[in-house]
Amino acid sequence: MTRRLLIIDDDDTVRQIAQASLEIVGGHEVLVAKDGMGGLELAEAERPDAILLDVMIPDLDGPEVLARLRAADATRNIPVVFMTAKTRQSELDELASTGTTGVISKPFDAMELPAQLAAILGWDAP
Amino acid sequence: MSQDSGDDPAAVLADVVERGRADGLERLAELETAMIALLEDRLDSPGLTEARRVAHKLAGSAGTFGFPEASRIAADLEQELTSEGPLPRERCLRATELTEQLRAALERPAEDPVAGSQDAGDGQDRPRLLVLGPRNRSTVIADAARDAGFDAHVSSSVSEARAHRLPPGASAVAIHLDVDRTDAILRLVADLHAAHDDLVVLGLTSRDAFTDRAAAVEAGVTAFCAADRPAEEVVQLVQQRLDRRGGRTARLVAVDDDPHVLDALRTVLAPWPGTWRPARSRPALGTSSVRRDRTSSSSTST
Repeated sequence: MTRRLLIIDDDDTVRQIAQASLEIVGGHEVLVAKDGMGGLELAEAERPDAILLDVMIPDLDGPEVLARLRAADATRNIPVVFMTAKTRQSELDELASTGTTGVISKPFDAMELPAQLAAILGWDAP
Repeated sequence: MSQDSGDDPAAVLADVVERGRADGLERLAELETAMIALLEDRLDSPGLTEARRVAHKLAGSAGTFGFPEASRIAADLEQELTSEGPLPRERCLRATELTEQLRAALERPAEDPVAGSQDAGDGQDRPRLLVLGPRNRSTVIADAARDAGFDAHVSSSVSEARAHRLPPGASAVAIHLDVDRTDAILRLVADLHAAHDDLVVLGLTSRDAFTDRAAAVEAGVTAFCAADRPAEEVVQLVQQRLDRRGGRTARLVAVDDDPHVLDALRTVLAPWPGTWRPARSRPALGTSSVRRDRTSSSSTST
């Protein structure tokens, strides 16, 4: 089933590979934003089925973006999955406690990303 | 997104990945410039923060475009550059050394970043190993596993591990047990066992308390290894356990007058749910003879 996803990541490489993976392998429609404010605006306007959110992004960081998404009626129920290169267990636990739906570690496997996301969100695997 | 390479998903991804590799080399050049400034004592605090950010970004992306070792080195570099105040000289030198290693790693031939689907047929012939734990250590184990012929994957969180699809008939999980959320890890192990028959689960731990190990065994951990053992040894142990999956019979006798001890032993000696079927109730004299047979799943007590 095709879903509409939003990727918020300032890293061109990661954003493009994730977009290609989710579009081509996953068969999804993908929107992208390269900073937190742009991501918030797109999320409110487009109401995606899920958001992949980088943790370290300019202007607002990932947890702040998540907090604002959760505070707005239009976006509070959108599942948000963090993508992060953080590796310390304490950092991952901290992310898990923010109310995120899940965490995907970077670097990710481009061919597996849609299946990883589907597993976290309880969607049928592509 | 344009699809210049036609409809072949792997080819389209390969194009994107190639562009990522070029970006990675540009980032490396930025880091090298920063390291020169660092050594010459010219790198100010914003410069250090920027270098750390670049290292973080490389850690997150290099593996995706075929350089997992570069990701690992970049992660180490990010840690090395993390400091409240000025970096001590020793760490400056270490950061420079890591940057050199990073270039060497990025100049090696890339692993095929989209091999996962292209080689699906080949991959199914190889045992699949999922390593769960701190990413740096887990990546080293996964690299050693690949050298030994495994299709190895790394997860640094329980949620990520849950997202990994282990194929039927697979395989093995090497899992670090000494983490804050042990209960979540043990639930994951139990769920993996429920979904995959004959799964080998190697628990990496520095704890040797009987209760810790009994809880792990009860969840489905099938073997233990000291957490600090060399990666090659960990992989060898996984391989040994996989080789033994065909079914072997062992007859064990446990003798103790304490029924609690016997119960605990029963838990440890019958780690696979459903394989312990005592022929009688608890032995009157506290003597237990256990027959463990993976294929027939029979057990007797006398």
